[in-house]
Formats: sequence, C-alpha cells, structure tokens
Amino acid sequence: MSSKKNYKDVDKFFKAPLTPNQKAWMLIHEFYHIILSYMKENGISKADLARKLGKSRASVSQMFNKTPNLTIKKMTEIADAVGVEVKIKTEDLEKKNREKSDSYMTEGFKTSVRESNIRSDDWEKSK
Amino acid sequence: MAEHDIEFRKLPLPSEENQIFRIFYVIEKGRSQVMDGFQTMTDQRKDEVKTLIIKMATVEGFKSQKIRWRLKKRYKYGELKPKGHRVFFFVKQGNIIFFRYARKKTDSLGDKFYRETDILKRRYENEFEKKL
Repeated sequence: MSSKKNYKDVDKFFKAPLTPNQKAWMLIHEFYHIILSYMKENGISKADLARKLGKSRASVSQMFNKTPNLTIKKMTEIADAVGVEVKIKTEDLEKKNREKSDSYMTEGFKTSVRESNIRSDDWEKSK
Repeated sequence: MAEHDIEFRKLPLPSEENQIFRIFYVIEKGRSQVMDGFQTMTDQRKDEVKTLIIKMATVEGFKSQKIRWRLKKRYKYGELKPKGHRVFFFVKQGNIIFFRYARKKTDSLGDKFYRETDILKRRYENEFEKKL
C-alpha cells in the first residue's frame, strides 16, 4: 500500500513566480506557438521548412525540441524561412509610451478646448 | 479521505490573470501518479513542464511540439511530451485534468498502454463530472 503524500512542495513550485530559466522557456514556447500557428494557417509543412532551411526533416523536428538555449540567430532563421518577422518588445516600455502619448492627447484636447472657448467668446462678443 | 477516494487538486499557478483553463491533477489513494512522476524529472524538465502548463492554461489552442491535445482519433485525451516523460490529461468544461504519468524510453508506448489510459481517463472523467 502506498503512503499518502500532500504534494505541497509541488504546489509551491508551480505557484512560485517565474525564474529567469522559466521565463526563457515561456519565450521559446511562445515563439514556437507563433511559428506552428503560422505554418498551419499557411499550409507550410515541416518538410517545407526543412527544405527552406537546408536541413533534414529530422533535424527540424529536433530543433523544435530544443532547450531554452535556442540562439537568436537560429530563431531568426526559422522565422525567416516561415515568413514571420521577429521583434523584441517589452510591455513595460510600451505601457509607459502609451501613458506618455495619452497625456499628450489630454494636453492637446485641453488646448483645443481652450481655443474653442476663445473662439466662442469671440463669437459672443461679435453678436 | 477514504483510501479509495479520488481527489482532483487544483494546481496553483503564479498568476490566475488571463487563465482560461483551470488545471487539476488526480490524487488517488493519497498518491498522484502525475506528481510522483514530475518529481523524478530534472530541474530543466520541471521548468519546461511548468511553463507548458501555464501556456496551456492561458492560450486557447496553444501549439507546441511538446503537446498533443488529442492523441489518436479513438482516444479523447492528450499528452505532454517532455523528453523521456509522458504526462496524460483530458479537458473537461474549461478544466484540464492531468491523470497519468509514464516514463518513456522507447519511441512509442504500446497500444495496450493507450487503451488502459483510456479506461483510466473515463473513470476519472466520470468522477470529475460528479464533483462539478
């Protein structure tokens, strides 16, 4: 009869914030999700991809099984062969830029309201 | 909990934000085959599995070489395929339930194994439905 376990250590491992290694895995998973989705949508087979990369089908399959140490160069080669452009972006920076542009928009809106008020005053005076 | 009882334990993830599937693992007679198997993995494999599960929970129809959402036409369950390991799951009403683990040394696990897994899956699926 097997003894009972509470698996708290496993739950703790899954619940913990992502480590740098896990973040790297997340990026690799995301990259292959994009590549596989794009290949499916565009009817590109692994054999097609292998031909474009000048590799065997087996080595392409192996490539998809890499650890998170996939190089940026290799990533770009795969993306190029499939027809996807890889860009690096950070949501933090984008958020800051959005906030900045939102504040410009608000300023711009205030200015235009002020101008519109001035124009309405002029119109009132001219009556 | 009685010895024969089956528990479906919710697997906590770092954030529940953007989670579209809830993740569970089966504990039967006080043991989880999946988590016992998970604990035998290297740190690298553990990280890989954790992040694959997060992606499965947050991205609809997440695509990966390491995931087969549905095995063969006759079996309605899927598997995670980190190198050297197989972790089996089924999907039920917005929940992903991990229920079986196997060490994989050769190219393919036999048909008998998949049939047994299917029987096991149906049993757990029935139990899960009762608890919904």
